[in-house]
Amino acid sequence: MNPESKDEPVVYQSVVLKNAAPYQYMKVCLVLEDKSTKVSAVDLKQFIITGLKSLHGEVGAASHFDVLKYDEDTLTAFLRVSTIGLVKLWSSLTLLGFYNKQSCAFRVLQVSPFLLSLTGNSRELELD
Amino acid sequence: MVRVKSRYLLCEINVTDRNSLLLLNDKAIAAAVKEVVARIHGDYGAAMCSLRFSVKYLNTQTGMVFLRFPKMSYKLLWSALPFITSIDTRWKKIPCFLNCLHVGGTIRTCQKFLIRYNTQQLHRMLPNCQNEEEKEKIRKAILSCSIIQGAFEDERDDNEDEP
Amino acid sequence: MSVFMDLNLTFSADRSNMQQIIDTAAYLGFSTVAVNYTFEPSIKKKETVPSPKPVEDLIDQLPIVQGRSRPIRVLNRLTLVLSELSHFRPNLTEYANFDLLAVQPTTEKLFHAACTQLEVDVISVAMTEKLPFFFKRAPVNVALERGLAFEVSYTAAIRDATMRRYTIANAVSLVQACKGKNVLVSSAAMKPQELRGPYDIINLCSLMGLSDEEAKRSVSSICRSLLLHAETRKAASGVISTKKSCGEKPQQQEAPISRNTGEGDSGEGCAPAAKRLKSQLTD
Repeated sequence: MNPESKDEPVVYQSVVLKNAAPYQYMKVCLVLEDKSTKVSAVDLKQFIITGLKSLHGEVGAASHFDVLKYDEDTLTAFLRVSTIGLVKLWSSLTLLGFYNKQSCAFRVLQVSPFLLSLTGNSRELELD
Repeated sequence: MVRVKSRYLLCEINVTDRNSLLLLNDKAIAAAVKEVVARIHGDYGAAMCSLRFSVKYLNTQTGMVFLRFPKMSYKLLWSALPFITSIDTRWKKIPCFLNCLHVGGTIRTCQKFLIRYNTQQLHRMLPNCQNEEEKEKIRKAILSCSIIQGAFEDERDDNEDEP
Repeated sequence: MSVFMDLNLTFSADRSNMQQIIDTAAYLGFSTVAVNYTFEPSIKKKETVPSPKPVEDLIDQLPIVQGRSRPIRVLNRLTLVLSELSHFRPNLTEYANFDLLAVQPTTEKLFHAACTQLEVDVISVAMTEKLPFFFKRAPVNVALERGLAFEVSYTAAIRDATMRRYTIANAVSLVQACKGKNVLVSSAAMKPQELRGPYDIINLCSLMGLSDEEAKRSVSSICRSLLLHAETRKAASGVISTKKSCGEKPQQQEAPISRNTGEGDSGEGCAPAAKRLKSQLTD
């Protein structure tokens, strides 16, 4: 950490991570065959843990991740996972194919080490 | 010449009742390892375990077993071995745990280690003998079951190599 | 720059389903997809090789690829499930109707033949069963030299847990045999929910022992080189000539290869993708 200026009342500091970032943030969207199905946040987390458990076993199920925010209408969730667990979590999201016997898919929209960068998406930018 | 690299794990099967070791066979151990890997590491572990995994050697008298794993994933598979609590044989379930003694790149290095280890164990146990007579008996017994003449000298040599 | 392709979408007669799959592929960012027809030749039953449906019949309107503002390119591909070498007839004209030709060998002998002799583009590896043979280095190296690719499809892994084990195990042994070169990862999806995004696939490849770079190549540049390989396969002694064409519109770069669409064989549509940019530069 190196503070840029100390004289000003508002102090901004640039944070330089020397090693890999401790957490990775993912923005995922669950696509279901039957669009009217309701999935609560608890169900979602449970579903992801089931996927982790089936692909990576008890070690996978024990790895830590958080659902930071979840929108039930669009089935979009923000996940936080430690960098070491990213590959495991992501691969099990990829291979999840069935939610309560209906086919489903997780679309990983964005992955970033900074939560702030998930707020914007250049793909959805509308140019004039 | 390229060869496919493997890792050989020399494990000791620890049981409370030594007679139950005689019931073990290769298949039972392989099945137990596969089952525990599938439980701990899921489908990914099971897939890794289906590639070139085998039980190379099993000594039911001493409970020594050589496991072969592919080199790329031996650490992952090894990490599941401590979770083995019992091995199912056809007759009964044997409660046990695996103690890994050595990891080698070839069977030969593992064998060398095993011979050295066994000599060490012998030296450790000899003082437990009650009297000279018993000691001599054990020495004789070892000599009588060695196949090559002069095996005892070899063993001695091995011992002297060690600092 | 990477252009992602998915060279295996299972053909289904259901038109709306096909439309949905291609729409999803475009939404996920695949700029080229290939519709796959599987055919199992046998001596006893004289079955005819399926003929590819023209793209217009498959789909009403080609969707725009996300992030590229160009319509998706749809190709045709034939997969032959071989159980005997004689079933492969190299000079069959029906094969020429397809943009890509793949074989799925079932025995070691056939795998060897496919790697060394057969005039195909893709060697597909069965992912739904335990492999009946090992991959040997020698034929695999010959195949790499000839520019063939080995295909791994991941849909079976999504459907079922045991299939998932076989898929991972087979893929790992394949990757080890060819040291990560020329491995093609495709979906073989039958439903839109079975498709996965390109970056998901790249991450999934790390489970199969591919490095990140190789994984990215497996959905982008290897597919591209395969398409060029398929072009040269059709031409005599593997030569394609490139004509400099005037008045070429930039939009046509990603247009479907004109052979499937019909008559417009002469002119710019015929030039392979690699050469087109160069001719433009010289203008």
